Amino acid sequence: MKKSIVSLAVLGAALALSACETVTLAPAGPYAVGAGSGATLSRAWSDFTPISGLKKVRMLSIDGPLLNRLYLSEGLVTGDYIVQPTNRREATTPIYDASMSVTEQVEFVANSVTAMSYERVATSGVRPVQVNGQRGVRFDIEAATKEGLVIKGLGQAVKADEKLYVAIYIAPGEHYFAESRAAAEATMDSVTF
Amino acid sequence: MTSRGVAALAAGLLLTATSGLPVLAQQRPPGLVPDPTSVEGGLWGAMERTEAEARRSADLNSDPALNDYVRGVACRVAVEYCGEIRVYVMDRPYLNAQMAPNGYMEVWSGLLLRAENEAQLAFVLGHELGHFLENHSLERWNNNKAWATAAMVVSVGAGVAGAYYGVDMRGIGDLAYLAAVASVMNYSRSQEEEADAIGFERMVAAGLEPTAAAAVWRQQQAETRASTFRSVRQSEAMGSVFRTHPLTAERVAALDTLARDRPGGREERERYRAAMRPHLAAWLADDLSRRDFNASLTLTERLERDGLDLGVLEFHRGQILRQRRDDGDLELARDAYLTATGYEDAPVAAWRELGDLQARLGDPEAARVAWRTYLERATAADDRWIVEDSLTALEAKP
Repeated sequence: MKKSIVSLAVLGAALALSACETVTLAPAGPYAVGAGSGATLSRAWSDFTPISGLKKVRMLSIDGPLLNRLYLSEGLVTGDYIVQPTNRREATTPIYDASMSVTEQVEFVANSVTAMSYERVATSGVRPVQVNGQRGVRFDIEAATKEGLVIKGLGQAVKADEKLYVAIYIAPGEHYFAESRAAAEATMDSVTF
Repeated sequence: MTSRGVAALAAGLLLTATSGLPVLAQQRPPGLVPDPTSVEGGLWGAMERTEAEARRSADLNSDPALNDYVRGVACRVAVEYCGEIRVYVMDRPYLNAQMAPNGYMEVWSGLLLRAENEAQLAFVLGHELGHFLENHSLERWNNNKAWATAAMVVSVGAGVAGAYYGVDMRGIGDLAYLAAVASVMNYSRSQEEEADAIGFERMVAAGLEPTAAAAVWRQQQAETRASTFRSVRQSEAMGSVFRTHPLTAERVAALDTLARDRPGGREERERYRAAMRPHLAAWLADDLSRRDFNASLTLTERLERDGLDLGVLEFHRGQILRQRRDDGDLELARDAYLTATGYEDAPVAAWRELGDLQARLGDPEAARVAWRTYLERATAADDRWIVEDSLTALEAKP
């Protein structure tokens, strides 16, 4: 039990320290996501990536991560994660594989949203999308927080040059999803590879 | 002491715990309501708040038929305490049930998925009832105030962090949600043995099969040994997601000893599976989200032994193997999907997945047949265009 308390205390300290990292402004205009990839922001967002713990994914928000979030990945290759597992040696979160079918890409994104601690993640409205000349897939997401708050979102996966570019927008279904949807969707439309 | 000696001693302790008036005299009387100003009264207050959160939780399974069934099984073992129990089925993919001192009981879908019959479920619920009857949570609260406080503090931090960070916080999130419960249900081994004995006796008194008690723990041990994750394989099997119920060989052996001279009882296997069937596919999918592929395969193979729900189970086996992607898994997944399509209860997605794998594994004609069957059956599916794209690409190949 002592070991558990120490582990929890260390976790708490780590979270407190990481909370001191900087959130930066991502102004409207071109936004670099990774080497050679990016998007155009139609408005200013706050960039939470430095405190997110994410590796190949950027996390933006307008009103704070609990109220709206936009994830943009750089080109994912086999073995990459959207959500990092807590234990590097044990793959408890979904891993991308370049051989995934379009259906599996949708599944990969949905399972990654589940790994963000959301419940009852469901996809619907799976539709084709053209992003900078590449055919990909976009879909609606519905989920809930553990406390029962309804979450809505959009997922997108576009494959270009053998890499997968993922975008995920999620926000509470009440007010916030609709409020920022246009800004999020415009950014998803603008992804470059 | 040899393992047999330890088992005999443990069995002896279990028998001691369940025989004679002194132990019974310590059990709480039916209808007990503590003084609100007492320590137990305070615990009740905390548990009532946790219960209110459970009622609002996204995990709450609101199917009245399922909840009635599980409550009915709980009442079969609770008997005179039935009126004090409030059962909540939670869709969480871990083996767990728990009962708070105020009579609030959670039964997680991971347990319902893993129990093979009503007797096994009755034993686990009887075990939790044993903790309730013996006021074990009150005893632990008095002994573990520091831990309880620490768990409360961390629960707040983890709840916030889980919402912010891009790392897998699910285990911590569960702790956050039920920190208050876990902190008072971190039972000692002797309390676990006592609860085993009470669960066993109440299950047998209900006319159910005595060997079910050891079987349910043994199944969990087998799943733990099969786990994909080394850290799980190297740990002791647990009868609770909160790691509060270590399933020692001695505990299982003690239950075997208890069952040895008892007449057989009913398992109620088919009735149990019928009650679970409407939720089987969703619970299997939830289980797969843990990504413990080998444990999921072990579970699936065990569930298949009854010869029931084979379309759903074979489809799920295909899903596990397709996502695991070890050498040879795609071929095995294709075979599982193909088998699934031979049963009436196969989900329509089995044909889509079968087509995808047939194409990938170099059998375009079989892929074409599977995809066309999917399009015939999934007339309203929103992913038809993906399958149509795949067919078009196949036709375009020389």
